[in-house]
Amino acid sequence: MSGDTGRTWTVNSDLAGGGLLVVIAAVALVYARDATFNVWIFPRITAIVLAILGTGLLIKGWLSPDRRKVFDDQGANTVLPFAVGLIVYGVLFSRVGFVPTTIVTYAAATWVLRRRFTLRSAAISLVIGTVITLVLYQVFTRVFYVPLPEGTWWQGG
Amino acid sequence: MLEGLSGMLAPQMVLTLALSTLGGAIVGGVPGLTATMAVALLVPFTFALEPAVGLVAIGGTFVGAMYGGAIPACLINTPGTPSALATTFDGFPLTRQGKGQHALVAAGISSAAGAFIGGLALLLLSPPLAEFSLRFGPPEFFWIGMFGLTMIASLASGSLWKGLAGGALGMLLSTIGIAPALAHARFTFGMPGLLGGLSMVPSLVGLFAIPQALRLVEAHRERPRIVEYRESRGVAAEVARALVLHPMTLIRSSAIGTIVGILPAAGSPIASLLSYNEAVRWSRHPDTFGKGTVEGVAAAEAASNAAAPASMIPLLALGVPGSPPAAVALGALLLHGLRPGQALYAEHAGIVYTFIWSMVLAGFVIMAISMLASRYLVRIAAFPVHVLAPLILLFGVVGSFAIRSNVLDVGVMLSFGLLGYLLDKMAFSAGPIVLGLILGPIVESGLVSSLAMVGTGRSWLDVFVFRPISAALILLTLLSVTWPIISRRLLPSAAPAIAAAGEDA
Repeated sequence: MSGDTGRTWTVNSDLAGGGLLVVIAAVALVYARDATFNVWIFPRITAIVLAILGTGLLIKGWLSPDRRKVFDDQGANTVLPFAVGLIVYGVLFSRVGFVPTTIVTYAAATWVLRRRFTLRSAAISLVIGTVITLVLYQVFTRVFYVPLPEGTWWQGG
Repeated sequence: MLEGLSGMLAPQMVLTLALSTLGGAIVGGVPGLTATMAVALLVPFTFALEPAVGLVAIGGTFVGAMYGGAIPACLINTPGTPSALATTFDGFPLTRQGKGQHALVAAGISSAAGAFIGGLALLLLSPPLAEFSLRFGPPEFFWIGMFGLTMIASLASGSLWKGLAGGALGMLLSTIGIAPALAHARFTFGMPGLLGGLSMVPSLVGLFAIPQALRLVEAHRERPRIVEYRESRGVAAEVARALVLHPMTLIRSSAIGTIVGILPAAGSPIASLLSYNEAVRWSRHPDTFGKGTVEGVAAAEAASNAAAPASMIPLLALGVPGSPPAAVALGALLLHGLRPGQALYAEHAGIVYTFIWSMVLAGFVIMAISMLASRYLVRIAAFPVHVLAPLILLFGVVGSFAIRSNVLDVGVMLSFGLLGYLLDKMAFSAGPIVLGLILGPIVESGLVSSLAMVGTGRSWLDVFVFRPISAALILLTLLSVTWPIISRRLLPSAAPAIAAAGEDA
């Protein structure tokens, strides 16, 4: 991955994809060195096929590079925090509870995506996040009977 | 069969079908959101419903999303779903002539016809095919898995090599957990939560929904311009008359859609492009295509909506999904403890026929939506991304958690989502990976059992090749691997579009 003028990030898709597949295949082959034939025959064959296909992509990427745009600066500035926020949400929502985590995450996501960084915009985002979260909480728990995590917030902790 | 129809006509089912079809049309109407994503997000929430109700919701959403894709295709020249690509060829020129309503009504009527014919094929063909599958032994299941995988590798991706690599990656991931033979743990890295393997539905939600949401976030500055759309009286009757007076377009296109849909992994995007190509070839006025003809919209939409129910035929009969949405529907079946094949028809006939009838009847709901609600659906394409993208992510997280109330499933979903997003950047599509995940256990168990047959004194060739059904499947597998070359020779005009449309439905 390289940035040319700092504005657009491109990647040689065959080289990157092939490299990733070869690494995955190598890990699988090392892990699959157990001798139990019937247990490991299929993972071994699949890993070998994956390694061959990955190597083919590496060769193709080296001989005829297929450079693709991965991000521009603006896209990266939005997607990367969004992806990190998603992981944090996934970790916290079972511990802190669905309602508070979702309100904060939803409001933050909406605020960032609206691109109006004012107090009024933050307030609107918070209202949207709260309303959507509470409506969905009722729908998930009462219609679909999903036992959403209540976390410490609901337990008064 | 009639038991399923009477079950489908119960008020609860009719309401579920109407709401899910409308919901599917709304999701399909948002450019960038696919039918696969709509179905994937819905599946976890069907867990709390009766199996029949849940499957009706899935059938309605799938067919509705197929139609929904036509709305932005006709009005803003952007296919709502990849299967609506061919609809833009004539739908948007019609809109530019001030005939947007003609385009939407034509899409609605032809979608209904396609869904009806494809649904009837599902109703009539899947039970005998399931019966036929009783003749399959381990080698046949091995080869049918290989056939399904090579089909999606060659058709559902612009690059055959990357498609095959995606399929192999999916197969390798499917081996995580306890091995079917001898109950050994594989690739669990000491994590007890992985002993049961990767949960199917969170994996599907991650691969199909999260990358789409992140792509929406990435492109959230690009807002589509909504066209001026006016309705006038008599258009529905005018379009219906035009289509009924020339029924061959609908019949031929629905037949093409049905046949292509049955092929494992070919799916709606390919069906609509092939059908459009044939409509041009057979038309008395081929020069009108591409300039705004109702016939062109009808050809594309009838085929894509016929392919939707038809893609369920190999799924319900053999357990081999005919398209990415069918792969997700398989996840729903398994979630409710329903295993495809002859036993499904023998033991759960009421449920499976209700599901099939839902796809037949969803066509009528689509027709009603296209005539009554077009003016409102037009606004869907402008739905604000800042509300939509977090909503998709939220549904993905909650849906993955909902199945087993297990945080590990959320982790699996997020990991697959981020992996899918990165792989998408490297031009790998999610379809082959998912097919690999689903077909992996079928192929493995076929392979291991076949090898055991070799161990009993029969030769490799006798077990793997010299069996009539196996030989036919080997030929089909070879044909599917060479299909990209053949299609370039047979359909030079459609091949680039097919490659471009080779995404999930």
